[in-house]
Amino acid sequence: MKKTPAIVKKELQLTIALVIAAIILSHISLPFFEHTNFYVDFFIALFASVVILERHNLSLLKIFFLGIGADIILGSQLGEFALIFLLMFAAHYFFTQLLIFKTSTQKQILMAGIIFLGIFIKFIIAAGALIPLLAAPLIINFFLTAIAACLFFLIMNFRKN
Amino acid sequence: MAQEKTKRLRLFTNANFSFLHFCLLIVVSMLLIGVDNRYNLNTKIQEKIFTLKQPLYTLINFPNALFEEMKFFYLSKTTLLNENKILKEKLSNLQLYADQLEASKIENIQLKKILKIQDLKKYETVTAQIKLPSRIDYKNKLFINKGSTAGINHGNAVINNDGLIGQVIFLTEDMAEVQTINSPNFVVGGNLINGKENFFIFGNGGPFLEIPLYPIHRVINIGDIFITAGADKVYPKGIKIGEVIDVIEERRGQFFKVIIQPFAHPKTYSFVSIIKERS
Repeated sequence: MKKTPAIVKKELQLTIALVIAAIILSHISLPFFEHTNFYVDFFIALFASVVILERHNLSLLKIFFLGIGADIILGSQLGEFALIFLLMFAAHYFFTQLLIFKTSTQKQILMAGIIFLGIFIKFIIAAGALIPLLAAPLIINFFLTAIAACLFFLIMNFRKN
Repeated sequence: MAQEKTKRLRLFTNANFSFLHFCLLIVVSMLLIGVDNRYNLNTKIQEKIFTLKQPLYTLINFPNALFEEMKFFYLSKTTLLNENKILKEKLSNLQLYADQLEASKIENIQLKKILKIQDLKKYETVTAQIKLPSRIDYKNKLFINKGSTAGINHGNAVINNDGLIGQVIFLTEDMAEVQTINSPNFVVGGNLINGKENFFIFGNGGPFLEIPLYPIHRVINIGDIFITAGADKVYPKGIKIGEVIDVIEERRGQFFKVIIQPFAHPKTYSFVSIIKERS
């Protein structure tokens, strides 16, 4: 189905609003989690939802610059999110070429997979010599991020009856 | 010509996933990570764009600032009088302590003169207020409302009434970022309050600090207190770091892993002191 310019504009506005929400949420501590190794990666969650829903005409170069933008906003290592986003996009591309994901549930399963990939790459980049210390929260971070991604997915996929 | 244009634009369309371009961008990303790791590019960028981020921080601070304002506004007279009474008592105790210190100081100066020891006191403190956010991305961060104009430098130690809080790692003219003592990769040289050997005390991102390899033949007990050793010339000697709360046997009984509860928590007070070299 071809989208009208009005729909494209509305979707873009919604995504921008969600990006702003993700920026603000990334700057707020998780309640009840004193340990800094536990976190929700809102940027990975949002990117996964956007990629799964194939909302915007994303390309490799656009993704690369989005990643650099996320690195600058969050103050993380330059190139870290660019690498993560590119690999997540490539994984999505690979699986959609291989299998058909039609229903919402199927898409969410694929989203969970690419979120895990994103979290895992981030863990590998950040871990260094701290692998035993950081390996334990990896699964918890994945679940927290997947919950956030599902929320983004539902918001972006919301339609008036 | 048109074909050439189309080829160039392949990078901008979703329909054609160019494996070559993908590999190229992956290599560029990895190179960027390496270069940033070596030359701290993003830190320099952050210094440049910090003013652009200020509105975001103000927005995040707003609910907390509003809550503090309202709390102060609605404090009853009785609460304030009680607080005043407690503070007066504390002040009187501190005055007594200050008098004793003054006597010791004079005695110290006289002894130094006799022994011809050079004056080692070369630090002074700047007081600053803590600002939110306390966490960006997944890293513990602490912002204070004073920067290079107040004479603060990179690496200055930050303390509060309870002990060591961390170190200044990022600086603008009117704001500084502090790496907290419990952040991953934070290391401080310390020794037992009654000991002489120096140890590296590490933060691990959790609420506690640790010494991963403490020699088993050295005596250590739960409740022992660690202070800064002063050997690194960053932290003056004698700042309280924390108290030993657990000692775990590690590596086939050759080492202990010592778990330390830090005395200072940044959230305990809204004000901190930055220790800088006397100008």
